[in-house]
Amino acid sequence: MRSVSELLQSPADFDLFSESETPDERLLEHGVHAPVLLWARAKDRPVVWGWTLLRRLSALGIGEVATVSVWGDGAEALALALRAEGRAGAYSWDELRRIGAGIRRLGLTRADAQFAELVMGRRGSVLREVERFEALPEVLRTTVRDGMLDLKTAERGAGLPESVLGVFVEGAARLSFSQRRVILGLLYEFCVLGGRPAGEVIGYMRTAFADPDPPAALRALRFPRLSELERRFGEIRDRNLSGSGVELQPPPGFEGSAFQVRFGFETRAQLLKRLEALQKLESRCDELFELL
Amino acid sequence: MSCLSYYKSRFTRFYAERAVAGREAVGRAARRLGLQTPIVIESREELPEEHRNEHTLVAVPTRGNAVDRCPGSRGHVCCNYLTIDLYAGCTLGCSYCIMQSYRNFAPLVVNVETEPIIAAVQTIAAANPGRRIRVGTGQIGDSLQLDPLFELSRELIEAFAAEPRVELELKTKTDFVDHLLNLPRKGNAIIAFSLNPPELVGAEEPETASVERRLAAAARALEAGYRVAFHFDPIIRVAEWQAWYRAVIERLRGFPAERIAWVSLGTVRFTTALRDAVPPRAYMFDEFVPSRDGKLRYLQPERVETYRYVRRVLERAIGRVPVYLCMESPAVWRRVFADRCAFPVGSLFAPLKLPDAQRSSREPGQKARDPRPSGR
Repeated sequence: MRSVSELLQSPADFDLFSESETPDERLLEHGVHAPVLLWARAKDRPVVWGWTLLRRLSALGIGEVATVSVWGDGAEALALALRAEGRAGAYSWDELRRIGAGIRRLGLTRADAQFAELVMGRRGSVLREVERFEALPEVLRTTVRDGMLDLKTAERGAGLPESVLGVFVEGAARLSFSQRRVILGLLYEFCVLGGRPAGEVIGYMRTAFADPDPPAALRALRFPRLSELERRFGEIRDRNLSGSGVELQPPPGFEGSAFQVRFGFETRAQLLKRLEALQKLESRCDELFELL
Repeated sequence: MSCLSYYKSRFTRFYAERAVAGREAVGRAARRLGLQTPIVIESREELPEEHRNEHTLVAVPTRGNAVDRCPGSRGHVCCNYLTIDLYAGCTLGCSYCIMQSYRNFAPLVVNVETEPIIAAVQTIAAANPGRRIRVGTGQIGDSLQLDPLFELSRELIEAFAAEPRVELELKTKTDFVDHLLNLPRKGNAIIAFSLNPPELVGAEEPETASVERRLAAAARALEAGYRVAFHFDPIIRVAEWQAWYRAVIERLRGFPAERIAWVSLGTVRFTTALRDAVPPRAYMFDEFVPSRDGKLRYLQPERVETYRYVRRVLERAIGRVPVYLCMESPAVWRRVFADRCAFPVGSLFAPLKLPDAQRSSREPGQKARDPRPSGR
C-alpha cells in the first residue's frame, strides 16, 4: 500500500485522462478498484495509470492505495496505461491532445502508429489526428469538441471566414448532424469556390436559419435555377394533379427525358378520376417538357 | 520557344524499357533531348519514386489492347470512337482535365511500338466492311505535344494512308504540326484542335498554345492537304460565354466546310474528386447536377441552350459541317438536333465489331438509345 498524497506528488507525465465517475463512490470506500500502476524503470517511479482514481480517493479522505509496479520502456508503459483505461475510440479531444503530447514527451513520435488501436480503436496516426484537430480555427475546434461536427467536415469549414463560422455555430446548435454537414458544404461552395464576400454569405445564412428547413433554404440560394425548375414543376403538378391521387416525378436533377406517374385505384370511379387528371395533364404537357 | 528547347526545359529524364530501347523513335527522341541514350529499365515499375513525375518520359512497348473503344460515359451516347494510347499523360495543365485528380501518377508514357496498333486497326477495318473507322490518339494525352520528339504519328498516318475507311484523328492543344506537313501520303488523317475563347485558354489551359497559334497551325495543316477538325470541349458558361464563343467561332470563317471533318461540342463536366483536387475555380461555382455517369454537368436545359447556340453560330460562320456532342445523353441529343442530325448518325451509332483480341472491358456499356429525333 502507498500513500495517496505522496503518489499525487509524483511526476504527472501520464496524467492523460479526464475525471471519471466510475467506479462508484461506495465501491471506492470499500477499496474495490483497480490498483494504481507505477513505472518501476523510471527514477521517480511515476504513476502510469490511476491519476483520476487518486484524486477521487483523496477527495474521499482515503489515505492509502494498492499499487503494482510495471517494467518496460516508455512505449510499453504508455500502452499499459491505455489498456488499463480501456476506452479505445471513446477519448475526448482534450484527452487525445494530452495523449498526443504524452507520445511526444516520451520520444515515441515514430512509434505513434502502434497506439492507434488503443487510442482510436482503428489504424492510423494519433499524432496526425491531433494535428488535424489543432489546425482547425478555435470556433471549429469547439464544434468538434462538442460533437457538433466530425473532424473531416470541420476541416472543410477551415477555409471559411471567422465571421461566417461564428454565425454558422450560432445557428447550427438546433440542427441535426447531417444538416450541419450539408450547410457547411454549401458555405464552402459560397465562400471558397464562389469567392462570395463574408457579408453576403452571412445574409444567406440568416435567411436560411430563419426558415423551417435551413439546408433546403440555403440550397435554394446556392442553386437558384435548379430551385426555380423545382418550383415550376411543383406548380404544374399541383395545378393539374392536386387531389387526383396521381403522383408525378421529374427525372432526378431534371436530367433525362422521362417523367414518371404512379397511381393506384380500388374502384371504377377512382380510376376515372385519375385518368381525367392525366388527360388534363396531357393537354398541358409541353409546360413540363420545357423544364428538361 | 522552339519545340526542342521546350522539350529540353520540360523533360529532364528519359527512360526506356529494354524491349523498346533500341527502336528508332527512342533514339530519335533521345538525340533531340540532347542525350546519348535513354536510361534503360526492365519495366516502368523500376522507376525511382522521385522520378515519377511530369518531368520524366518513359518509352514502353504496347501492352494490352493496342486499340480500344473510347470509354465513353455510362448512360451517354457512344459515337464508336476508337482510341490508341500512344501518348499517356500530359503536362498542359488544363484545370478541367480529369488527370488533375490523380496528379501524383505523373510520368509521361509513350508507346513507341506502333506495329501492333497498325495491325489492330487494319483487323478492325477488315471486320467492318463499308464502315468508317474513327480512331484517335488524343484520349489520355495530347496527340501532338510529344510527337515532334518521337514522330510516332507519322508512322500511323503513313500506314493508314492505304486504308480509305480509316480516319485517324490527331487531337491537340498545341501548334506542333510542322513535322507532319511534308508527308507524301496523308490518307484520311485529320488534325484536330481543341478550341476555347482566348480568355478561358489563358485562365484554364496554362501551358497550351494560344488560340491564334492553334488556328495558324490548323491553316498550315489544311494547306498541306490534311482535313481538320475542331473540338469545343469543354465549353464553359462564364458570364460572357456567348460573345466569347461567337468570337472564336468567327475566326473559323476562312476554313472551307468541306475540309472540316467534324466539330464536336461538350460542356464542362467533372467529378467531385477533380473539383476537390484542383485549386478553387470560379466556373465550378455554377449550378451543376450529377449525371448518370456520376459527373457533374450543367442543368440540362442550359446544356441544350449552349449547344443550340454554338451550333447556330458555327453554321453561320462556316456553313454545314458534321457536328456531334461528346459524352451527352440521348435526351440532350434529341433536343439539340430536333430539326435534323448534322452527323451521319446511321453509320455513327451502329456498334463496330471488334475482333476477339480487341474486345475489352470497354465493350459499349452505354446502351444509350439512338438519339435521332423521335416523333414528338
